[in-house]
Amino acid sequence: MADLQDEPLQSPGTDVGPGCLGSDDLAAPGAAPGALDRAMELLSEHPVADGCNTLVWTLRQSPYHDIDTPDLGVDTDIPRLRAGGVGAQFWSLLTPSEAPACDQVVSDTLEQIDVALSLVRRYPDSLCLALTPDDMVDARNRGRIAAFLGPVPGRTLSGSLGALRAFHALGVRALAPAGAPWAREGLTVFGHEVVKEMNRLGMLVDLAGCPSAVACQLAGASKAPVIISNTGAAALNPRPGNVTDEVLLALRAAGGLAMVTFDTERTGDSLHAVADHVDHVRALAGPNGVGLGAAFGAEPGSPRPAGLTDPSGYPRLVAELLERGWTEPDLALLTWGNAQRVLRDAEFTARAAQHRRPA
Amino acid sequence: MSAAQRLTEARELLAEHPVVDGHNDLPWALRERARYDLDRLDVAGDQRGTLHTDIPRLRAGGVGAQFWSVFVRSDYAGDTAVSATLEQIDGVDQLITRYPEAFARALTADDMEAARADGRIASLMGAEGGHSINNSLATLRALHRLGVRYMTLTHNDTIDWADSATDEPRHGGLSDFGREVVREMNRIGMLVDLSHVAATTMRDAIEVSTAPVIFSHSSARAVCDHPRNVPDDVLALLPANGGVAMATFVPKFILTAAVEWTLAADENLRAHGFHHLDTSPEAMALHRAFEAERPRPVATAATVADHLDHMREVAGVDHIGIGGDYDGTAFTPSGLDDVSGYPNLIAELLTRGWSRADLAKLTWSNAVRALRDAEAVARDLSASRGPSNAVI
Repeated sequence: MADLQDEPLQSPGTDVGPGCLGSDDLAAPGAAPGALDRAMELLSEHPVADGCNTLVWTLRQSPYHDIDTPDLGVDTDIPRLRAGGVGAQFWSLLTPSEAPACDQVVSDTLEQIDVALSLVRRYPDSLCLALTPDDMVDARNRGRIAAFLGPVPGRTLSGSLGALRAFHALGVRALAPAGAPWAREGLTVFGHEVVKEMNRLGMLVDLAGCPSAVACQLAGASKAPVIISNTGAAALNPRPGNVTDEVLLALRAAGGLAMVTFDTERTGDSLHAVADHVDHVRALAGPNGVGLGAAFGAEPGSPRPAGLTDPSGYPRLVAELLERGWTEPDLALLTWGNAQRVLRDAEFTARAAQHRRPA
Repeated sequence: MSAAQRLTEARELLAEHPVVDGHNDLPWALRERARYDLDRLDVAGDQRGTLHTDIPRLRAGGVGAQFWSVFVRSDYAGDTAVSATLEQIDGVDQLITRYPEAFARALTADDMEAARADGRIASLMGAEGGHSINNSLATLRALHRLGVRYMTLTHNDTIDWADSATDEPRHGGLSDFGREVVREMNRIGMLVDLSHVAATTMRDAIEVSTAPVIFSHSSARAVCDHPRNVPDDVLALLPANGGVAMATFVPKFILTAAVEWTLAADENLRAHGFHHLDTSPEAMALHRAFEAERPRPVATAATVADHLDHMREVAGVDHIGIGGDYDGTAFTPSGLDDVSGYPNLIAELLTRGWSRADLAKLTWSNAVRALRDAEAVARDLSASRGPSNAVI
């Protein structure tokens, strides 16, 4: 419906290709134009599988956004996801922790799932519900963005696994234990049971927000690789929520994946700062343990690093990393391959576990 | 025709037109007795003495489709009610998965027919009480996605948007949000179940609903004056609505003498510190001691047939069905003691001159038609209307 708008937007990033990169037209500082071309080319083959976008919560607050067209009222829309080379997206189903009344976490999470499913249904030309790693590849081959649901909050599970299996049946593929009574000061017996059942179902454990000790415990307990869907490196910026080197090393040992956020408070206010975090995570977790989880999906207002203010910015980050000497195979792992592998491993673990362990 | 011949004829009829039963509480019994551990309580074996329901007796009873109740206690609220409902759904899921030769997961009327053709028991789910959705229409939609195909609007307690038959009224029937719940159920294709609700709620729901409603386990108030039964004026609305009232077997609702006995027996349970709906071995022992003092009036297949005769008179033969409430009640009628008893009811109705065609409607086709019609309404409505985001 873009052609019906009264005032055509100037450069909202409707075009895909070098030089048409979205709402802020900055070239990556210091990046040669050639690097940006190479980044675009690389992304067309190995798109971004991003670990975290909070649009679902935003749409619940402001359901009037139409993300099919450039919508400047929110930082995520389909034209900018396309311009950024996004091929898969985890849609976070967490709610701000102060939001739901204490006796509504489960129904509130079901609301989040409902909004996410209707989001996917509303844009069938662009989004495609993904339940398996095969779906992820399939969506890419069909020119759609694979939409994974999750994580849901771990505190929805209080003493039983029925709700976990219901979330899985509804399409959820990740759960974040942070804040759950069973993972607050160490994993309880029930917490171990949750992890086992997630492994059996093929649901990813998202360590985002967990204290280091608990994160290491979870990484050790899980038979399938764990992820951190959005994080900075605490060694560079010791803010709460950023991952410590200890956890990064545990991830490396366990084949896990830390996905770097684009967040001024957690990573610094420039594209360089974000790239530094990506470099650091790769140095510790290894090239197989680093990914991207920008955590876009908000209405304008939250501070973002220059050049990475919305999903059209990924090519600039990739260009910067090329400039820093990253090889194309490593970049392909960063954007797509690692997420794909983690999902495959989780699926494999589930298939093996289901032979041994009934519900 | 001798009694034995009638029973044989009933069995033959059921082989072709098996029972769709509207309400069975096996899931709650499995939860309470075994935490859904089907190794501990294997319903492929004989569970007489423990449960009203097991696979051999479902087969003997000629059951072809069962709405398994994913009931959770009426005093559960908020997340507790929602989580427990999800656990109940999960329990039914495990039940179906474990006995694939006996049960077939059914989400549609077509699935029911396919299961019948397959010789398996179509397994559907019904939620019992609006407390299961915690005032959230997205939760209602989640239950539907997980396979729930009817929701009883209330259980024994009045909830935030609907009055129960057995509690103080607060809304004079359905509140505005309650009406929206009914509309959303129509849109997604979940049957509106009016067992347990106040007569005012029944009338409001039938007025709002554009799809057939059901009474998953309720009998006729004109035959036995109990609030759990359906008044004649409401039964008379069913032909226009297309719905189905499924007669229940619960003696304390269908036999006047049992209503009074139950009041005294409940009082006895409470005096000993038990909930009056408790069916644990301890509570049942108390009941038996009480019975020794004061003999329990016994309902029979004829009692149920009296209700069905009346319901057929008022609602019509196209709008009646069966909803035994097995494993949801302490006592059952003589001859309908457990799920193997349905042929005795059919034999009784044959004695009363019911035709084979009418019996086939009662046992199978009315309920299947109601679900099929609800599906058609949902297809129509969901093409013109998106999900409702109303809040209470």
